[in-house]
Amino acid sequence: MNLNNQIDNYCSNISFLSLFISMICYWLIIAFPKKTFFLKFAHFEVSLANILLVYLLAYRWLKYSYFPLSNLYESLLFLSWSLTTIQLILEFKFKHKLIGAIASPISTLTLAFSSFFLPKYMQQVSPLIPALKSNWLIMHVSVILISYAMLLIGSLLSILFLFLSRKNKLNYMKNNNLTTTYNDTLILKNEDKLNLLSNIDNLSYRIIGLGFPFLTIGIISGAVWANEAWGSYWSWDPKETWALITWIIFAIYLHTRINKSWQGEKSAIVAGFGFIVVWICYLGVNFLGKGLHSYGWFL
Amino acid sequence: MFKRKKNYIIWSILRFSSNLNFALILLFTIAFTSFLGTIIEQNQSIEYYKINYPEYYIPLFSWKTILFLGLHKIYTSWWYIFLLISLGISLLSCTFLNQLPLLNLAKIIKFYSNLNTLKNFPLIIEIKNNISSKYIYHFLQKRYVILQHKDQLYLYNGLFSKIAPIFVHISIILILIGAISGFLMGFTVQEMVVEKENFHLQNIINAGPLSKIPQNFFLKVNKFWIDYNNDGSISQFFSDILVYDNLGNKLYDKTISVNNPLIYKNITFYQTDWNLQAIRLDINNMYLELPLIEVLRNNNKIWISQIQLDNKNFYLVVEKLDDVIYLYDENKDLINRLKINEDKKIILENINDNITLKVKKIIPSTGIQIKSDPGLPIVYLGFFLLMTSTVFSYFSFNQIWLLINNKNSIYLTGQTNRAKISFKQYLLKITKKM
Repeated sequence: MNLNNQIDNYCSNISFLSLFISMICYWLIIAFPKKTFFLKFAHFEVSLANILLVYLLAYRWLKYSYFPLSNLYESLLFLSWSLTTIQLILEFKFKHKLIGAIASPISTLTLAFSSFFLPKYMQQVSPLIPALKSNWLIMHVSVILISYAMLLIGSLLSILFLFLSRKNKLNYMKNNNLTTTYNDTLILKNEDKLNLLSNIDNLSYRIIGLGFPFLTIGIISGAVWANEAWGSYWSWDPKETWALITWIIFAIYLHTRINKSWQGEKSAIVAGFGFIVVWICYLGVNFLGKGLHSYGWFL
Repeated sequence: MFKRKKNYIIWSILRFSSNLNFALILLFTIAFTSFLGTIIEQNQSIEYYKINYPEYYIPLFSWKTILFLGLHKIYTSWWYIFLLISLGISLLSCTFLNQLPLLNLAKIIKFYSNLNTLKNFPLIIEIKNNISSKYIYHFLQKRYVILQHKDQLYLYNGLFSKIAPIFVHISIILILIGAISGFLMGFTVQEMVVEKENFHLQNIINAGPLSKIPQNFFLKVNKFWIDYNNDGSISQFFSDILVYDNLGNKLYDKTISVNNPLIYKNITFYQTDWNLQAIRLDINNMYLELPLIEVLRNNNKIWISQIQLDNKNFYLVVEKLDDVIYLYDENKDLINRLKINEDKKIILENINDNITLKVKKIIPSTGIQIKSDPGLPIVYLGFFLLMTSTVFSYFSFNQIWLLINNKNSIYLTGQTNRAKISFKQYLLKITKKM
């Protein structure tokens, strides 16, 4: 039993350390763009942390035979894993250093909070209470946590956008290569209005745009589960209400992008507000300690 | 003349409600009022608000403001329901006045005939010494719709992502309609039933104005039991329920547990709660049933019963169903431990005769939540449509134009509504690859 706890501890400590190192590497690479070694090392560290988190979660799943999402500690681990996974996918697709620079601090802090600030008794494994004995547990909680991860990264990018557009100094326009030739193609016009700011804006829009359907599916699966278990798909529980508020805020964000004049700063402010709302919805409500969701609270 | 003016008023209200800024403000108001409901405790007694929000604490805000504005029952107040109905109207008018016209616009097929007309696009690529059919084949693989007019091609894909937002609106409206039908025609009944007893649907918690609660059947709780984990916590609790018609013929039978309800004639019976009601003793071959009182000890529930033997008080303490029962005397000292049906001769101090005390049974009661919601199919349909339509709305609507020049070159340009970066990367990548 002690050895198992030690393995748990080693895993979470090493993954925290990896994430912390990767965070430093990303910041170094922003400061010294030429040293590509830092970037490769950062990628390695994030991947290492990701694998260790998978191991931790899988270990708990196999040992205690229920999907590891029944208390706050496990959900925080799952959230850290989602954040690192999404960060890796995004970096692979868009190859933008700023993604890592933004996402790694938040993964580090989440993991640090779960490992070092949660009291030990909340990290223990305990048998599932009857209300959680359902297949809906896996579907609902995992989808919601993945959506939180996406919405957090997207809104962080919007906050970065606000920060950069205020400063207005970082404006590296790519070269308007009017006559690049690749074999037999000639780029006649490449109006790279997509400079850094616009890139971040569009990227945050796409990430939030993907997180929003996941949040929808998560909330609805929670409602259907509640109906199958207790006969009421919506009971204005604080957690449910805050999930609705989060959904509404991000729906507002997506709609501000329709109007061309609202694009840019105004929608980024909404997304930045959404960042705070997601945290209140996830952690703030648990610590108020009332309602159907008070499974991991201390008051 | 009057009718025309009325039409004009209705029309201008609808047009105003389809305005995006109005809709966003409405959404924000709903979010804000819902937030208020999470910080002000809902549905409590007036005394609660008088104690927690006294006057003169915050200027102009006290329990009086709360009660006046209906902030103690926000989610069922008339103005909140009015906000939701306005949202429904706004969504509907936006669909008809904004989304459908925009969809028709997107369906318009436009060809560009020469390079000058393409000059407003941000990206133009000229491809030399290549065959247009290679590109057409590639785009066909990517499921583009390809239209050709002489030497100009127009390609698009992802039109479904422009139709999906319409279904998002429709599904939210369906959910609102379903919720309102459920509110009007549904009912909630709760029954706390002792084991072996019969019950009808009579303890009404909630019933809508158009609801009907059937009385042509009754139910019996045949058995109730609890499964415990190794550490003593509860794993699951079960009730075996039988349904009878009013003549006593058995209609249906099911064992329910949490997350596993009984459904009969569109009424669902959920296992939600339980309690211990009484303890049945055999004292010197006399049966005695004593009530158990629930007491909270260290966040755990225990049950206590009191019995008088020879003018002295003794207490029986029960912690779990079908487990050890503790016997205490007046001074709260533990005398003995009893198991169910165990024959034990109890020797009690200061009692004249020998007493045989046997615990025959602990009698539980089970809490059943009974619910009927006729609006549920509509709500579930809305849920399903909402899930799928939000996923489809994520994709972008891409448009590509190819202009085949007779000088052996092809001009390619494109635009998209959502995934701007990746679309541009994609166009640059395929021209490099071919």
